[in-house]
Amino acid sequence: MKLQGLSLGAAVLALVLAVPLGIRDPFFQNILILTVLYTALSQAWNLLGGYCGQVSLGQALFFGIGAYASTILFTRYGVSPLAGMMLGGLLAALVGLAVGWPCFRLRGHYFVIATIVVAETGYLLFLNWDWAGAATGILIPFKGESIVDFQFQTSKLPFYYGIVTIAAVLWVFSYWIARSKWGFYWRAVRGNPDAAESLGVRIFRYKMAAAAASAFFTGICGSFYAQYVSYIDPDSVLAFNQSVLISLPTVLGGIGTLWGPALGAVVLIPMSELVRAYLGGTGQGTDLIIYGALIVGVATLKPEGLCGLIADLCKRGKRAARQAAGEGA
Amino acid sequence: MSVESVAQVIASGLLMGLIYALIAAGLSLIFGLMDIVNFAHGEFLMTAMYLTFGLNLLLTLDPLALLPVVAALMFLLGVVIYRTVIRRAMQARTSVWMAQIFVTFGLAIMMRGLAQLIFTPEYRSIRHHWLSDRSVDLLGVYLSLPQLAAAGVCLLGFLGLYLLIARTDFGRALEATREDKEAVALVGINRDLIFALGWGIGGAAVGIAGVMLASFYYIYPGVGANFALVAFITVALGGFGSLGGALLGGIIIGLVEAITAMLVEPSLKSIGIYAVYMLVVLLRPRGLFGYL
Amino acid sequence: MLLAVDDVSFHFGGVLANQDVSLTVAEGEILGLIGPNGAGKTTLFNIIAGALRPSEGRIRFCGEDITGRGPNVCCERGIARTFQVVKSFEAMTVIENVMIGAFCRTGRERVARGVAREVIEWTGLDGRRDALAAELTPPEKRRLEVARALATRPKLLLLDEVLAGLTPTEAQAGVKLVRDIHARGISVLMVEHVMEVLMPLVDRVVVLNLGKLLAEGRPIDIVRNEDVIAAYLGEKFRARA
Repeated sequence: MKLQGLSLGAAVLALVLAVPLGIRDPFFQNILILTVLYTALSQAWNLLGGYCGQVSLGQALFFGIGAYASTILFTRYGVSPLAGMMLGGLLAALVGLAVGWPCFRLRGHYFVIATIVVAETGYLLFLNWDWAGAATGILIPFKGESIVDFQFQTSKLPFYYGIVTIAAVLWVFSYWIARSKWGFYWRAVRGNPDAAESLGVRIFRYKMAAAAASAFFTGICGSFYAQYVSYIDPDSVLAFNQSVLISLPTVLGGIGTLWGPALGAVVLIPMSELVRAYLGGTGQGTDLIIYGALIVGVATLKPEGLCGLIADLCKRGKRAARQAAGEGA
Repeated sequence: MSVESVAQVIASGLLMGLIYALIAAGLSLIFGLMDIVNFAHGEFLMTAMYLTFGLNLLLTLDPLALLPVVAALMFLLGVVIYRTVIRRAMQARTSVWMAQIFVTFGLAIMMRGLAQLIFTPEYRSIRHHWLSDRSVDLLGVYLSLPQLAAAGVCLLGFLGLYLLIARTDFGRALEATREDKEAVALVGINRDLIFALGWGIGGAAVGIAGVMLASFYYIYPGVGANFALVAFITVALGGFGSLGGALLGGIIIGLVEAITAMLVEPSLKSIGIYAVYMLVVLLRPRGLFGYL
Repeated sequence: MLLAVDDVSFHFGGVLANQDVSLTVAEGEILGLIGPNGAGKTTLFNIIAGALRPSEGRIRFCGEDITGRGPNVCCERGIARTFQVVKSFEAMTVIENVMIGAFCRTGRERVARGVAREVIEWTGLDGRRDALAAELTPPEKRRLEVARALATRPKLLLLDEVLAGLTPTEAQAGVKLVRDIHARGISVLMVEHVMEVLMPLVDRVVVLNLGKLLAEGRPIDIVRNEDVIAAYLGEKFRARA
């Protein structure tokens, strides 16, 4: 069972690493990078929302903190974005703990609303914070191709491999933690907090751990994004839309599953980019309609998401195979 | 900071507060009834505003005249959404509340996308209306007439809602369903009908607010999101499920917002209400009159 | 003395749910807690389990004061409980449910799985090991509730009406389970309404009425106690005893 999960992961990784060899067009490479980025972002969301059951619609806060931290460190103090990513992630994790401390006493939709308000507060603060660029944002000047400075202009491939590394690390982390006491306790907190408490689970502690892990990886992704697009402002990294976008792949793919975020991202991101590219001005909003419809569809018809759908198909396939074998014999 | 300017701030805060109160009332009603937070509530408001804009353009009728039409349409929208989507989500096998959150969420995204598609992201405003941009001078305080009318209608709408809940049989059935969803079937109350009507009334309430807002506020696809957040905070402050809480909460939020705009700076006016929200979370999570 | 409840009172909103209640549970004992509805049994139960903090009084477990320290601390100290309305982790399998209990004593998944397997076997849930909790029948869910609590290796198990609403066969199976639990050295405090099944099972009985301790003693004495008969039992048990 364990080997099956890991070997599947390895196979997917090999595929993912090989893909850019066949895709040379920068437009499609961009789609690839964004897909992997949102896989990672949503996987981070999944840790807190899917496994631990604490639905956060304020992840943009951590995304933005990561982005701003590494950007400011790089543009003003010359700190390598590679270090900036780590620091951004750590800072985001600290903020996650600080935010979680008052908010985790709330349950269900009360908690969701709290995450929205907190993130909006962050957005508003950065919008008016002159030192951090306020509404104008911060531009990252190109200093030359460099791994240490994490800047590349001639090819998008280094960015691609960078985000794949981040996503792969996160995937391994999720795989490991889902099988550990942490993962089990998270699922217990999600399933029934009262029962969990009566079985010795210190709920608050585990929620905080989930928040820290989720925020950390989200922050790292934010730093990556800043280096990739070379320009950040509150509207692009801290806005509510970003928080929504981060949660959607997992909702579509399967909340609380290992592959859900990836499946959902693979469906949503290319679809949205292509729709936007081909429908452009007159079709503005179409991608939102499709997003929304998919989410409504999943939530009403198959809450387990695409992963659940695939599991059902597998079960049906196995049953059919067994029947055929039985009849054959 | 003269007395007049303070009075001005308080007056406009009060007026907006009454509008917030009605928006929050619809949200609170649905929540109190079936434990669902309608994350598409803002988009309901947006829909009402666009409906008003569209009908105003077509029929050149003042928003006030369009009020009954739009309110009725919004009532229907609420019922339809409950019947088609919400009811399904309530039947999910596991983590029902998560399915509910994302269903209303998905709806919100769809509705916003639709608005973008039909009306484009451009800011719109109502052109034909009786009150236009006139304002009235009350003891040195200038009150915009559309805003005054909006606040007045919203207050009336709120009173209507209160009378409906407190004085009619339907209202009693609503309360009963809210208190014990399981038991009401035993006394012959059709739970499904109550839920549908609850969504309808919630839709109509936010619809009325939307019509009045459209007469003086800019209309664009994202307008609902801002008001929704304020509505959530209002309901959190007043207490989920409490109509009186929505009224008091709305007024407090309106005032806090206006005072913050004056004391700090207009672009940061929301900071005040976010701070109020955090205080509520820290000190009294169930709000002023809530049930939690 | 394993558990000592000293003069516990609990009031909320003007209602006095428990008033100066004291009781003890000795090691290796099965104690029955009975009384009419509204007597305060559930409140007392929740206080002992750490879910409620008493307005007055202390709870001592193995000599340590655990008053109001919370359900997770009580569990760590060795008190496990079931819920009257079953609270299983619906989306997790039976073994995963029980593993949550087992994780109380270990950090390692393999160890927890082993403990869970063992508990599942002797509580008779082996056939449903990989079924989702949501798919279980109500009696099975109740059994799961008990198994999960047992996986925390408690010294004292609090059972909240585990025998209610069962068919005679199911009730007998339930009694056997309690006896097996007792045979493993775990003390039991059970709240019950089903007298026919409870009385032969327990060593001692505590009767609550209107929030206060009404009587305490051996089952055979309790069924003859005039106050208890008047307040709760009625004549039918006396005639049989």
